[in-house]
Amino acid sequence: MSKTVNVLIACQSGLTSTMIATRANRAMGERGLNLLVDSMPIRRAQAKLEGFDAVLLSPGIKHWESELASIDPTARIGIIPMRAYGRMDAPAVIDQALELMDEGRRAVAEGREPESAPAEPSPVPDAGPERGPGAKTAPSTSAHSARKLVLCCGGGFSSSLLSERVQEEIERRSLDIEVEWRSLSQLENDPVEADCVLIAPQVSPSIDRVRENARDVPVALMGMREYGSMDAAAIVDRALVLIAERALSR
Amino acid sequence: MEGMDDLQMTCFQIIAAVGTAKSDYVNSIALAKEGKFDEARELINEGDKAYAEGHDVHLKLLQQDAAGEREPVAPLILLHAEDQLISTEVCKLMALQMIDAYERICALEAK
Repeated sequence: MSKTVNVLIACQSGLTSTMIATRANRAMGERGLNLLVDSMPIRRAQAKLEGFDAVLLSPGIKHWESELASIDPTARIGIIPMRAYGRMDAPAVIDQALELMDEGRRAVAEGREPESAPAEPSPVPDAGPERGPGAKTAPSTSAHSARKLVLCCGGGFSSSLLSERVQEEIERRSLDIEVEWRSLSQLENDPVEADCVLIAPQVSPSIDRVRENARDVPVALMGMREYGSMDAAAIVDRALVLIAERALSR
Repeated sequence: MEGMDDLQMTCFQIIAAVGTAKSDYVNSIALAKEGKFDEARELINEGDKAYAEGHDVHLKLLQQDAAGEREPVAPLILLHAEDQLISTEVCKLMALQMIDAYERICALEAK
């Protein structure tokens, strides 16, 4: 069922982006996530935007942003912050890609953007060796309400070690995600207002009923290993990918 | 002596910082082209701050090198960092000149 999420990291010459992409792919592989990070020098990337669900630029090529947006108005483009890039912070880069995809989906759903947003005209491309210096940076994504992750392990207890750890992980990564616990009974009967639902392995027999009740909200199982060892990082990763996959299916 | 991993991380910090500065300098030229000279010069200042961070990190490398602490082979990423440091400096020199030039052009066009 799950599609591969394709992320592109671009930098000037392709050297640093390749090193970060390698780290990101290793981390994703270890966590069993269906996410593939490619890297390219900017001159090649400008012709290949279409194949990617999110395009992230190194801080050294942020001046390319408006040019890329005019080449492909539907591309979801972001600029990696200087410090995160300098630390080779692959998890932060992945989070940024997933948030970018999600923000794109929300903008379309809330009518803030048409499906393919028309780009602002780029400046005349003859200023300097770089094609398309970007004086007009793309408008910053407007404020949006937090995404909501709902967790369920049957009993509906709201305070537990796992809950704390998931909260901490979300704060550690500065993600804009609210976490709530629901009981199985609530998930089977009440309207589900969330961006994604994760249920514990012991509740798995009920997943079909939950999915039916949740309608178009994605519902997935937490893995036995990640739930048993209270691996908050893996759980948050899974939530992020669910949210992103939902963005792709629109 | 810094291990290869430490050196790699140091190079990354330099590249990220001076790259950010270079991008600011390029964007400042575009601002000047639109007649926004104050903003252009402000962006140059922003770029300088980022550059300074990269320069500080590089100073550590220089000190280590002076003390004889160096890897036997310079990795590609180190060459890249050095290259970015210098070319960003050149970029700033050109950006400053271009802002001045556009200012004069704008004044001429206004006549």
